[in-house]
Amino acid sequence: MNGIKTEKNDQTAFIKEEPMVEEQEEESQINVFNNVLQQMENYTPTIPDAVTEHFLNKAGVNNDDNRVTRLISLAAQKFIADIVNDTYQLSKMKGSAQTARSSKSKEKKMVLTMEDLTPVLAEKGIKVKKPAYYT
Amino acid sequence: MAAETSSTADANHQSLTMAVAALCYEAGYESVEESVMETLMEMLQSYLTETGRSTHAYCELGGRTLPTNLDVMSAIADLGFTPNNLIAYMHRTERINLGQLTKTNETLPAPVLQVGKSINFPNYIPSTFNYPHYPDPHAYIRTMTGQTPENDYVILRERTSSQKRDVERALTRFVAKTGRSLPLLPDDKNAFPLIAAEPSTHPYLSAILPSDLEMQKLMEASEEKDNERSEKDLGDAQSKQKQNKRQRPPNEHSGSNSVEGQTSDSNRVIVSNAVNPHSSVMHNPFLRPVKNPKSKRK
Repeated sequence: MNGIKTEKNDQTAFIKEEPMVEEQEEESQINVFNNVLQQMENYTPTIPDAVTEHFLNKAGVNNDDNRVTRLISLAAQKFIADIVNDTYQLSKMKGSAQTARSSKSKEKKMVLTMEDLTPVLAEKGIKVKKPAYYT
Repeated sequence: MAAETSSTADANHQSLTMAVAALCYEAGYESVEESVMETLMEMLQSYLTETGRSTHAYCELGGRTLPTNLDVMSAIADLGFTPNNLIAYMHRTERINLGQLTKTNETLPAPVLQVGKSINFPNYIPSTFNYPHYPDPHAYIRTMTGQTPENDYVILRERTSSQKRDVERALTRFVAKTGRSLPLLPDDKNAFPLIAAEPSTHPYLSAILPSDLEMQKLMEASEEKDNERSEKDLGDAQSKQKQNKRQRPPNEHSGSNSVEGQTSDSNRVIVSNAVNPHSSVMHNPFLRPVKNPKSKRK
């Protein structure tokens, strides 16, 4: 299950158990969101509010509530952060890190390359094909 | 408008790029490929737009205009969002705060300075119409300047004479003030200054020597002859020098027969100075003979 099921199928009897479980899950998730929404008053996501508002206005959203904007930007931010983290794990497994001139220190310089990003995005269903060089 | 939209679009792109860079830095990356950055920025932009669009759709589906958090939840659930780690992600320790952007008002174009009063529209155009006003009258109305010249002889004659008198007076006063002067009146020394006459040591020299204008004419004439001689000399030096020596007595002869007979001595002086064919052109660096650079023998 990737998403929350918004339609409640509590009409049928024999699957009463499932809707109960789903309801509870859903309620807990709704609670999570409400909790997050309340916390949004004090929290500033990485994406600035003005930028998010610009894109929301472009999509037609009439937004007066600050928290809704921040919630959306947080969700978008988490989306990208998940991808980047998966790429990081993948590149560490591959060991394709580059040793910069800091070979004395044991830290290796991590570079986010297209080669690492493409399989991660492919898992999510996003197919990326970019030319390697510009002619 | 196009420029405005492109500049705001660029600003938003830059802000998103900054946010993506911050996220990559938080994950532990030190550097990011440019194409990757562009890809992630585009993804973020489309995610935001899509979230906004479906939020709005859910909101309108419920018969509202202001989206609520449930609309947002539904929208991001449609995009595959799992709110499991949301709170944990919120409170991560290594998050970077970029700061909020402030909206700046676009500066209106400075109002054009209006000089004079522009004419009004004709009476058949109602004032409610928002037509642009006429430009300033100085932009298209021209009046000729200048005065018609005087034709009266009396007035012109008087003006000429007074101007001449004024010029003479002004010039003499100027020379008297800047040079040595003698006062006319003993008590008031600045009222009528006279130019002091300086006795020269040889008063007859000014009568004998040619004036500046005559000197200039003579120099020009002799220079022309020298230029002709120098052109010939560049070809064959020795034979031409003999010709010059031959030409000297006829020149002197012609000089003594000239109208300015009294100045024949000075003429001879000038010609002898100019005999050396390269002396006059030496003053002009472009007409000097070519000097080859010294070749160093190693």
